[in-house]
Amino acid sequence: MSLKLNHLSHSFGSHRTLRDIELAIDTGEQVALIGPSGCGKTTLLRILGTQLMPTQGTVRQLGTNSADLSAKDLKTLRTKIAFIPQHLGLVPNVSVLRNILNGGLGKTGLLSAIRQMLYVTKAETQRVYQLLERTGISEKLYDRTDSLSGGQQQRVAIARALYQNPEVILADEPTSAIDPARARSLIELLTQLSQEENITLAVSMHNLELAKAYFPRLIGLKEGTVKFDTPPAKLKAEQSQDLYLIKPQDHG
Amino acid sequence: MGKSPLAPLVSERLQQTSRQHLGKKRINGRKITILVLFALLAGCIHHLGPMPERPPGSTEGFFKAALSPTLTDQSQSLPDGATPFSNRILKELATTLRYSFIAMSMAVPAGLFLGFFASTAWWPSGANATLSRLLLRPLHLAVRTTTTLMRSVHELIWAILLLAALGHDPMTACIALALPFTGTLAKVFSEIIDEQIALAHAHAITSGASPLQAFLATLIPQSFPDMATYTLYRFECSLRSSAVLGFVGIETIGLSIRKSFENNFYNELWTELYLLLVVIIIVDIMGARLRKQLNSIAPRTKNTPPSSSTAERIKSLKATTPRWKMPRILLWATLLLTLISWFPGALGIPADQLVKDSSHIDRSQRVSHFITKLTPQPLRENPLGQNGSLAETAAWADNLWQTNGKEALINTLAMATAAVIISALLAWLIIPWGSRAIAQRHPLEVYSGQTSQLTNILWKSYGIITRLFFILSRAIPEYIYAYLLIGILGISAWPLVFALAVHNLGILGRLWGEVIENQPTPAPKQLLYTGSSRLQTYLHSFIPSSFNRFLMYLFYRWETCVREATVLGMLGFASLGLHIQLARSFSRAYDEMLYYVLLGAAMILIGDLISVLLRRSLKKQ
Repeated sequence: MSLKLNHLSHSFGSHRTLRDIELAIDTGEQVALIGPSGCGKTTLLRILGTQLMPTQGTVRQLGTNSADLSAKDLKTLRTKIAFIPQHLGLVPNVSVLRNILNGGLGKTGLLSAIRQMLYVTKAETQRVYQLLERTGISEKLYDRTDSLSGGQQQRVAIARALYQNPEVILADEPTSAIDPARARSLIELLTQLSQEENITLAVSMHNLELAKAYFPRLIGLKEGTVKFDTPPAKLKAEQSQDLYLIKPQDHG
Repeated sequence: MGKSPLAPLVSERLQQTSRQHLGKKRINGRKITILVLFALLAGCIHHLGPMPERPPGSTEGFFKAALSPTLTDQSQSLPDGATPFSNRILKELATTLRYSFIAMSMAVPAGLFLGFFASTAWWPSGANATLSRLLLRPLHLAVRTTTTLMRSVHELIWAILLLAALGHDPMTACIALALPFTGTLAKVFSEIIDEQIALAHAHAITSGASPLQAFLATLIPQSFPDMATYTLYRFECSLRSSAVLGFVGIETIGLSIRKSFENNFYNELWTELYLLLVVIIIVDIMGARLRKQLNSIAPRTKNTPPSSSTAERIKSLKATTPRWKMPRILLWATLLLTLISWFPGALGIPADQLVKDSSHIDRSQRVSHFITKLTPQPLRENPLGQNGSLAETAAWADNLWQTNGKEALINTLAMATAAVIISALLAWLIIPWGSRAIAQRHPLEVYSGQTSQLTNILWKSYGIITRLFFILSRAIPEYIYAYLLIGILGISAWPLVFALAVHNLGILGRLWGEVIENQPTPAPKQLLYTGSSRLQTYLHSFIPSSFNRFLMYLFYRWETCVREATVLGMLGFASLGLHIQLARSFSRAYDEMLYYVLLGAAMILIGDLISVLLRRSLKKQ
């Protein structure tokens, strides 16, 4: 079992974001989280990615309850989970190479980090180049990251995630800021990588059609609760319509 | 300025709208601030009194000589074999540069080190980190206090103290520059780091990095452009400070300026001023260029050829990456010039030894003698408070306060405040003329109707002249302005105020000008589209949206002006600087001198605190 949530609730102050979530994701599974803005998708992903500790209930990643872990073990767990935030978290004024190398910080020591600031070995460069080839932007190896388009920066973030050799990839709304064609090719890339490397994949998104096309499991979230958890074929029309229905008092 | 026939109607409607919608609170805030500034200015003018009559002019010809700088000595009575004028001033210019390089090469590493400890961005967070944070806090406080103390004493005063303590070596001058600059660099570096958007940092932690690793790999590269740009600006300041050290006897160009003025050799004087100006303006322009390049993407000039193997492709990609040239050139030039400054002998360049050969016994004797004289008189016999020496010291300090200290403090504050307000009011009037956004044929590229080529040229000239004015006014150090103005106008507070104001005007011109250039353009463009004039756009859009940032910079400059004002008094006006000078030169009462120095430092510490609190509350808005 790769990721497991038991009776999970989370509140930010008095605001309840997630209510009693039960969820289990297997190793190598591909899951799409669908839901309207403010439904708790990002919070759920952040809890799965050990960024947040839930206020109630338990979360288990890769077989361990992350709340029980020491600082060192938490670090080790984190290196196995690659979280791609919505804002990507790239350093804008350095090269693509450096941003991707930052993905490997958890696995090397402080001295290595200092050494990398001054000198990057051939082996490291080769490895980064190969990852960029897989994500289709190999010619951007030495370019300044903020000179790339939004879609290209997404691919840098994915390459950075792969550099970690992760067991889990969590992507928070990777397609919200790019055009439909590029969104499609990005989701194709993510699902392909997940299948090839047997990496557990959980992606939150708005585009239901795209999710249905590429993900074998769809989880619908609304107001902090799971509304459905089905393969696309079994998804009923009312279920998906109800998800995005705006009631008069709800301004989203 | 061309107005559409609709403009009067539109602006009335704008005023109505702004009254209704902007809300009373905000409008009153700005108006109240400006009223307070005027009131403060009036108070300062009242306190400082009117300017006394000009003394009979021995300074005729001073301004005429501006047009005829000379390259040869004006003195008629030089001994044979004396160094000719041009050689002498070039040597002094080289010394000025040399001391700057040495001082900065000490201040930058020290500033980085202290800045690291003054920053909180690398602290671990989370439940496991409470103990570390508890231990880090006192360290953080200690470092911040040290750096504030270092920079609250002006470099000229450091020079006076260190020259008396350590003797007249070139290295002493460099240390005097390096100490306050380390404090400033540490503070600014830590602020740059702490104010970075930390998204990449947070992500690194998520992927398992330790706080230190994340700090080095994300925050440091992100902060680099601002830190590098600021360092170059500090170097420019160090040139000015190095020049001014000449006024306390160190052989930089300030020494010649003083001598030429005292001897009424005005042609020589103007040559020296022009030389200093040229050097500083070159550094200023380089700084602007560096900032632009570090913050933008270099254009691609070479295409990457196809290659056969991965290794080759990586190599050719690296070779054809678009890169700016200037950062690299500057880096190598800086390293080279720093090496030459430290070890000129290695290249066969004749220069003074940094530390003159005097016996160790001499120097340590000198230091202990100095420390004795520095201790307040009552404490010298009874340093641990015996025989009521503490009470005596308190009485001694109180006496100094009642006789000179209080008056000097108030004068210093009044001069600084008056200068800052005068420069702010002038800046508000002058800046739009130099703004690339406003002062052009089609402001903000909003088409404004047919205009003649002459109008186009006029607009461009306003911009160039204004920006040139700002560059020139900030290139000359305040101390030199003050020195010359006192020579022309006589001794009173006002030459010092004007000196501070002119220099500050140049700096505000640049800082505030940048704020305006960086404003988002949709709002002012909308005003222009609906018929506003440039003036209306400036008053109703640019000023309101920049006001808070203007005030932040104004407080920061007030701090700096207070520092400068304490020192300008050394030129003869009853501020702290005067008493420092008197205690040093006439009575050799170093303990009294220390009292005034500490008083000045305390004032700056308080001013710093006020400024930080005010800036924080402004940022929240």
